[in-house]
Amino acid sequence: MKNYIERYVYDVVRRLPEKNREEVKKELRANIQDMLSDNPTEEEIKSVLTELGAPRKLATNYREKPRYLISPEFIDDYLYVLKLVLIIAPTITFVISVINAIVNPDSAANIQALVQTISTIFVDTAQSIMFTFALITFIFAMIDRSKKQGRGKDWNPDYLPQIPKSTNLNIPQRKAIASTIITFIFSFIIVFILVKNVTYFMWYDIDGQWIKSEPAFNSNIVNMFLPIIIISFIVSFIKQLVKLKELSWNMRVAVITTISSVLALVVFIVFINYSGLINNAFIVQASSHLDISANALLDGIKTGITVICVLAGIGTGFELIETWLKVLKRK
Amino acid sequence: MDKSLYQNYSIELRRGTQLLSVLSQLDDKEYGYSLLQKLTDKNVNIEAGTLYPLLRRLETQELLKSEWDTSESRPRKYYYISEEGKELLKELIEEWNTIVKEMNQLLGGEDL
Repeated sequence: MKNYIERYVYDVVRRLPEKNREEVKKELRANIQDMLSDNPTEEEIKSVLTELGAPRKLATNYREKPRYLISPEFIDDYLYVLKLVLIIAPTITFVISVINAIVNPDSAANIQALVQTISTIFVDTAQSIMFTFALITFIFAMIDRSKKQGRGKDWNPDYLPQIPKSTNLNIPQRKAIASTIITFIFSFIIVFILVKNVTYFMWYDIDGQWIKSEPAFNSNIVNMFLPIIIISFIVSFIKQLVKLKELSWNMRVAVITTISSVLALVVFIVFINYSGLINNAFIVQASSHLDISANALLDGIKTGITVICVLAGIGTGFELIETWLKVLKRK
Repeated sequence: MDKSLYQNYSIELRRGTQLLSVLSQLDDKEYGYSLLQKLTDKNVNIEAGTLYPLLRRLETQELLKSEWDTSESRPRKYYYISEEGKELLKELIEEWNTIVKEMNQLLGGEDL
């Protein structure tokens, strides 16, 4: 006797709250036996149990309220947020992981180390994905739960978002979202590089071993500028958010774009031209390896910086002209 | 016509009448299987997997009362309608008659 009835009853009852189990067990057993003849064959038993349906389903019917981790009401928002965050967080983790690998000369010393490095990058990124997923799911499950318990405000028409108007003088939503994400990732990475002063621009082969160069920038100068650099990125991020909210080239967007771009340009020019930014040790080391004089190298770098600043200035100029033209067209 | 579409809507239509069907047959004491049979004899087909849990739920809502009969060789749980159940049944029957009238009005004039 393969004990089908008892196993069936058990499989149903274990999914129910403990206080109901004994009662349901007795009842279900009695009901099943009623549906069978006095000496049922195995065939008969299996047929009746199939008629009753999967234990999972039967248990659902016994329960009074439907149970969801995240109810249909919130599932759309959940999936949307999840998609967004699962793009941002693992990308950042991946890039930082790669930077860490680059900075460490031994990471590619031989095949073994290379494999190790790749697997570390992979594991870090995978961990980031899993953690992000768990965190977002947890947050939404809590939101769902508190809604069910009656907390939280009721929806009313004031919460409605504006309709994006679709003409050429409007910002497509996808573009706004994409540039917000990219700005965020990019800013985060740059800040990370500066904070850790991972500005090793060169590798040197010294006696057969790869040694990273001195950091190109002086730590104290970098740290001095760091707050204003971070502020500049935050303003730039705010600009993206405003664009996202307004979704059109209006006055507000133009103003914040101007402030953000001008601020970023000024901060960049002052920072990159600050005397004492470039680490002397870096210059000395690089010039000796490149076989040119330190002064020549310094001049070369200064020229390069000037060129970059001019280009940045021109680029910002064009951006501002374009933005204001769009705004004026709307009037 | 898509058969499954018909099945889905047909089941939904019947689900609305389940409560009425069950409550109306519990003037006498019945146990799970006997009720199932009673309904089948009257050509009302509710699945066993739906009926048994439904009886428990109705008891939790105090529309039914129950008692275990241990006199026979097999102990059985008998259900019967409670006073609240009778009141609810009366009101639901009135509601049902109203619905029938409304539907006849809606559907009556159509050439089907």
